[in-house]
Amino acid sequence: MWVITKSLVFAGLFLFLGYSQAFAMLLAPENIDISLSQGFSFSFEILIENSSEFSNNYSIKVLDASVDSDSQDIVFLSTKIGAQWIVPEVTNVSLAPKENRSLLVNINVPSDLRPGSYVFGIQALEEAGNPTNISVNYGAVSLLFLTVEGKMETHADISNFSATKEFFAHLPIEFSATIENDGQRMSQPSGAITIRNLFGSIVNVLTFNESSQRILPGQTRTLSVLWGNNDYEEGFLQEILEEMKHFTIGIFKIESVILPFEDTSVSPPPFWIVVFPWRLALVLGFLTSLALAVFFFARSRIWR
Amino acid sequence: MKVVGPVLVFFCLIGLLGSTIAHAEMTSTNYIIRFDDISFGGGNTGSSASYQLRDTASTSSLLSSSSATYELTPGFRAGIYDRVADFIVYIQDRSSEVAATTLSSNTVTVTSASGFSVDDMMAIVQDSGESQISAIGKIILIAGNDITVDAWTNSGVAPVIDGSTDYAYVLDASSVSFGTLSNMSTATGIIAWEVSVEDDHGYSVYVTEDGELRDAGALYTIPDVADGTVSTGASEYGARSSDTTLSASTFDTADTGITLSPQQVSSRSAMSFSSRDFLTLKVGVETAQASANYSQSLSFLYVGDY
Repeated sequence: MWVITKSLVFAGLFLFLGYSQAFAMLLAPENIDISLSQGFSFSFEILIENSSEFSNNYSIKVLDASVDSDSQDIVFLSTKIGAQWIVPEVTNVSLAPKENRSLLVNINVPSDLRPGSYVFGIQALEEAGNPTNISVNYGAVSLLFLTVEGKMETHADISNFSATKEFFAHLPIEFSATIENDGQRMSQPSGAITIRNLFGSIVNVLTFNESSQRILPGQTRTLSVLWGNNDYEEGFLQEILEEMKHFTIGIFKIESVILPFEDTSVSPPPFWIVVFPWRLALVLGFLTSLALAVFFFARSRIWR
Repeated sequence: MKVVGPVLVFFCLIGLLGSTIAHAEMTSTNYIIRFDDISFGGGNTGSSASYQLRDTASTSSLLSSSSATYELTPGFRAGIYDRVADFIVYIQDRSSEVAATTLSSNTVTVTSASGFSVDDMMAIVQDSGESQISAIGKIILIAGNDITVDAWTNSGVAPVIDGSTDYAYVLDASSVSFGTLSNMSTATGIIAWEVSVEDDHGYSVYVTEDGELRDAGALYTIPDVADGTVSTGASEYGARSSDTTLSASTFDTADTGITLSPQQVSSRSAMSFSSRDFLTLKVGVETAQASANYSQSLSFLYVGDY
C-alpha cells in the first residue's frame, strides 16, 4: 500500500468580514497530497477554527474538481463522484468562539478507479440560515491531490528553458521552463539551475520550483525562478542604484537539471546570458573622462 | 575588422569579471536560509525537502506602524507570521447612497459625505443600472464633501462621474438589497473583496449559491441569465466580475449565472497585498414576474493555488 502524505503543514487561512470580525475562520492545510493504491483506505485530518467572537456552524463538503488545461485554475464540477468515497467524519460542525476542531476525512479508493492523479476540494462553509435579500457567506477550500497508484503512464516534456532575454543590466533575472504533463501522474518538479561564469566556476545555484508547485495530468505550466530577489523601480537613476547595490557583471552559462518526477531527470540545453551594468559604466566613463579632461587641462595650464 | 579586437577584449574582460556581490538570501539545491542578518546570534528560517525550521534567539520589542499604503513591523524575523491569507468581503449599502458630482483622480465629490468615514471601503457608480461602470476604493481622507481613496479598482474602464445618475456608496452592509424590482430598470448590487496572501502561488476566489433567486416558498424564481446580458424588462439574474483576466469562468466577459458549483470570480497568480476585486450582481424582471420577496445565499470561497 502506498500512503504518502505531504504538505500537511498548517498553512491556514483566516477570513475576516469587512464590517466586523463576526465571521472569521481558519481551514488548514491548504493543499493535501496523498497517494493510495486501488481498494485501500486512508484518513487525514483537516483543522477548522472559528476565529470569530461568535459561535458559528460550518458545513463540510467534498467537491469534484479538475484543472483548466490552458491555465492553472481549478474548476469545480457539478458531479459528486468523489463525495461517494471521500467522506468527512461529520458534515456539520458547531464551534464556539476561538474554538478549533480537527476532523477526519476518510478516503476509500474504489478498487476499479483508474490509476492516475485526481484533484478534489474539501469545502468548509459557514452555514447559511434562511436568506434575507442576498445573504453572503464565507468559506474556504482545501485542495486534495490524490494519486491512485497502479500501472500508469508517467511522462512530462520540458521545453523553453530560457531567460526573459539575453542581455541584462542588473538582477533580478528570471529563468523559466515550460512543463507539459502528458502522463497520468501529477508532477511536482524539482531540480537546480546552475549559473557558471566564462571559466566554468559556479556563481550561484538556484532551486527550481522551490515552492513545489504541481502540474496535473494534461496540464502545461510554466515555472519561473528568479536570480536575485530585489524589487526595483524603472528609470535611469533608480536602475543605476540597482546596478550599484546588486553589482553583477559577466557572461554566464545557465545550466539546469529538472526532475519532473522523482526518478526522471532532464537536462535542457544550456544557454548564455550577458549581465553588464551599462548605466553605471556610462556614468563612471563620463566621470572618468571628465576627471581626465580636468587633469590634462590643468596640467597644460601649469606647464605653459 | 578594426572593431573586432576591442570588442573581443571587452567581452573577455566581462567574462573574466563574471562576478556578483553576495545577496541576502543563501540557497543551494536543497537548502534555503531566509532573513540573513549581520552581527546576530542564532539562525533564522531553514528548510529542506524533509524539514522546516523557524528558530529564533530573541527579539527586541519594537512598535509596528502602518498607514493605508504600507505596514512596517520591525524586529527580528518580523516578516514571518503564520497567517497565510486575509480575505475581507465588503457589501454595498444601498441606504448610504449619495449623488456623486465630480471625480478627479482619487477624489470624488459627493452631495454629502456624512455617512462616510476614513477606512471605509466605498464604491462609485456611473450611470447606475444595466450598463453601470463602477470602481471601489478605501477612503483615506474626507475634506468637506470631497472623499479621497487610496486607489480605485475598476473593471478596466474608469467611471466618468458627471452628476447624472452617478452615485457613491459605503460598502458596509451585511447583505445585498436590490430594493423594489421593476421592469423599467435593472437593479444592481456590489460585493467586493480584498485579499492579502503570502502564498507564492497566488489564489482564486469562487462564488456559489444555495439555489436560485427565489421567494420564501420557492414557488417563484428569477432565472439565471443565459444570453450574457441581464436586460431591463426581462426576468434574468447574473453577475459580472471586475477581474478581466479570468480563464476558468465567463464572469469577466459576460453577465453570468451563479451556480451550485463554485465558479471563479477573481484570481491572482502570485503573492499579493491588498488585491481588490468586486462582483456586480444584476437582476431584471418582466412585468409577469410574480410579486414576492426574493432572496438567496451566496458563498464566497477562498482557494489557495497549488
